[in-house]
Amino acid sequence: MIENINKFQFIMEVLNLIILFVVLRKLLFKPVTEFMEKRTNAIKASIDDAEAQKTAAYALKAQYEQQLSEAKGTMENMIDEATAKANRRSEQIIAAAQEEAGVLLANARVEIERERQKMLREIRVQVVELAIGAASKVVESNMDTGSNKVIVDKFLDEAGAA
Amino acid sequence: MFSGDELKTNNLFSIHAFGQEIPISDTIVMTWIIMAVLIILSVVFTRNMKKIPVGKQSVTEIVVEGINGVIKSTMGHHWKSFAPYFGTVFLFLIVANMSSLFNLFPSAETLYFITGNEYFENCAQFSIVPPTKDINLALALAIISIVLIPISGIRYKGLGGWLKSFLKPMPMMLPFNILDYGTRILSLTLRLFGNILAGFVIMELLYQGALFVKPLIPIASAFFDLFDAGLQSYIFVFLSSMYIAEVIE
Repeated sequence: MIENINKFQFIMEVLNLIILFVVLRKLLFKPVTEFMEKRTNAIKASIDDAEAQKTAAYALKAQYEQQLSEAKGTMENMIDEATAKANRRSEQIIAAAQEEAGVLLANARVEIERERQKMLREIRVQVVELAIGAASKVVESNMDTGSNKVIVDKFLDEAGAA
Repeated sequence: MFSGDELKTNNLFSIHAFGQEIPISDTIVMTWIIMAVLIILSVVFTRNMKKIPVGKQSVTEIVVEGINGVIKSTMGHHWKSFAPYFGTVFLFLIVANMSSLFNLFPSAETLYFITGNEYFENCAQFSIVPPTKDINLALALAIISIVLIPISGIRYKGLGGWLKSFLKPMPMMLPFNILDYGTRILSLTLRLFGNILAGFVIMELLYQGALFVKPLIPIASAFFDLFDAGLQSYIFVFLSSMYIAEVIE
């Protein structure tokens, strides 16, 4: 077995193996390993990126939901406020209208009373004139118009008072 | 036919260089053929690498990833500097050890013996021998792997760190650790060379044996040319990477 070892063949085989190692490292192992590592890194980066985007999207979603609920609350508050304001305003308007109506009614009553007094006075004057007319027809001669008027007035006052 | 002297290598021709006559044996020619096959395959299989692996790219990735994985599991975080070397050794050994599979095709000599046709007698005599059956190649592989131990030890641990590895796990082990450098060369060489030579000899005996042993050929070929060949390649790479890992860890 030992005599089979040949220094030339041994050196040739060592050289062959070193050449094969250098060539295969350059052609096969380095490029393929680098290629796969690059791909692994790319996949890792894209997964990380997707994860980060997902987290960001969840955060945005939560933020929007909060904003939405806040807006809903604000809206309800505003509606309540507006309803209350409208109710108050309508009550005010009704109260004012009632007050005005009361004043108008009172004024109208006063006016009516005044008209009535005026009419009563006019009626009385006319009645006095009618009575005097009638009386002067009855007592044509001795009835002085001026002095009799006072008498009739008095009579009518008494009658009106009665 | 079988001469009983399978240990010897046949010198096919010799070249003159550096004032010496260098004999070129059939195992060196086989080594060149296997180198050419591996280099051509690695050129073909790494062309047009796409992000999504399809077809041959998947094969390339499985092979490289598998080798990287084995080296990662034995060498830890220094795997990147060693994976190309052990990958080369593994691929070379797998192809070299399994090359004897092609002996299933009858050689010209056998064809002449069977058919008696004179055409085959004049054919060139070249039978495929696994180059690892030659002790020179096994020794070359083992010595390269053992020489790598102090080199990587000094590179990653410094001279002192490498020398300290002789005292592990206890100072008493110093002589055994020194002996290891010799015995590991012997064990790596002889394990590889012995297994492949034995397989080769047994297969030759079967090919040239009587008719009733022929049915054994497929089973024996599957065992020696495929299973044992793959196992020896793996063991060689695994052990030599373990030896280096012991020093650099």
